Amino acid sequence: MTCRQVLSLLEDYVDNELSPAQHDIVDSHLKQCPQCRAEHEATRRLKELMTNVKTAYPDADYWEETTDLILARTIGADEAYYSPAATDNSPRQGRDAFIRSIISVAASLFILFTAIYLGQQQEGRIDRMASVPAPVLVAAPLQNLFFDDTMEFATRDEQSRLLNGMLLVGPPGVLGKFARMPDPASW
Amino acid sequence: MNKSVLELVESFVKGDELAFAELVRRYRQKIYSLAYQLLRNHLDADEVVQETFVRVFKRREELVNVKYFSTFLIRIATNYSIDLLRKRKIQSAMSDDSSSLPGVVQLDLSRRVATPSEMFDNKRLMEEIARALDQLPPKQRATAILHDIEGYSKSEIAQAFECPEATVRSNLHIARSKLKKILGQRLKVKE
Repeated sequence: MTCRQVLSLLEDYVDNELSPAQHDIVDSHLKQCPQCRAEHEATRRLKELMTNVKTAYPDADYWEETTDLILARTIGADEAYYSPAATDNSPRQGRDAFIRSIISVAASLFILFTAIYLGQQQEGRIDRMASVPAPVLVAAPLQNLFFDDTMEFATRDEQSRLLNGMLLVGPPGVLGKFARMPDPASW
Repeated sequence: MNKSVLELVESFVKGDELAFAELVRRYRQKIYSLAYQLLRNHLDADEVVQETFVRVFKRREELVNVKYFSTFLIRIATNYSIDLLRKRKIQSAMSDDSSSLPGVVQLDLSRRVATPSEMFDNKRLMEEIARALDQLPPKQRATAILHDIEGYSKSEIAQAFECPEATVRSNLHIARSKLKKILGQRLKVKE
């Protein structure tokens, strides 16, 4: 084997990637050829130095922090991907979603029509109430009512009870006295 | 967790977050070492580690067609490191006081305790190797580091770089030739 052929195989020789036969041929050539032997030594020494270069790693805290950061940037930012609903892509899941949407629409329509029906009922009731005579409570500032003998004082609770079912005329809070109401039986 | 890498990758693709966390734990140091050797800088290596796993997570669907998870990782980490290398042009990194950083390169030339002069000599040699590697183009540098320092085979590197094995051999040969030329006398064995 010529020097040129040996040199072309030298790196595979150093990397232990030659067949046993090729290895022996290169081996015997190196014993006889000082130039090829020098080249082999340089290649072997370089490989040895490179192989022995080590990385001193950061401490355990660094790895835990970095792993937490990675998980926060991936799993933490992508919760939807890992939710059980998102991972179950079966046809059953699609059918369930369709049924749920149908139920939602039906419930919405039921609430809408019920609201319309009740609104119409209430409207008729308000019309009927408009024709029923009701006692009217007349409210006025205290100074206007104070000297009227027909006025009576009432507590807040009494006022509240009296007001029940009456039409209040005047702003709330001005009631210190109220006019005696006629007996409803005489209406 | 005693699952194989293949099982973990399958679980991860199906959405198992614990499997992904386990893959991160198994490969984080390898990626750090590769990135540190390429970039010679702890902060950049840290960035590569994080970004590599974030990219793997985003590209998890591709893993269905990936034969070896490790080569997929190496490809992402190396490409990202080379991008950083080109972007930042880290030529002056070795002039920093790297001994204060966590990822210091060390030489373990023998198991016996080295004398102070040998330790000094090893440190200088380490710096010379690092400086020599810095002079190589990114792809040759990555090939030499992956093969001779990180111990990956030529076929693994070829898969990682998605190129023929012959290209890896060629890159490695050129890288070694340049390194031998740069290191010159340092490679002669003392008698």
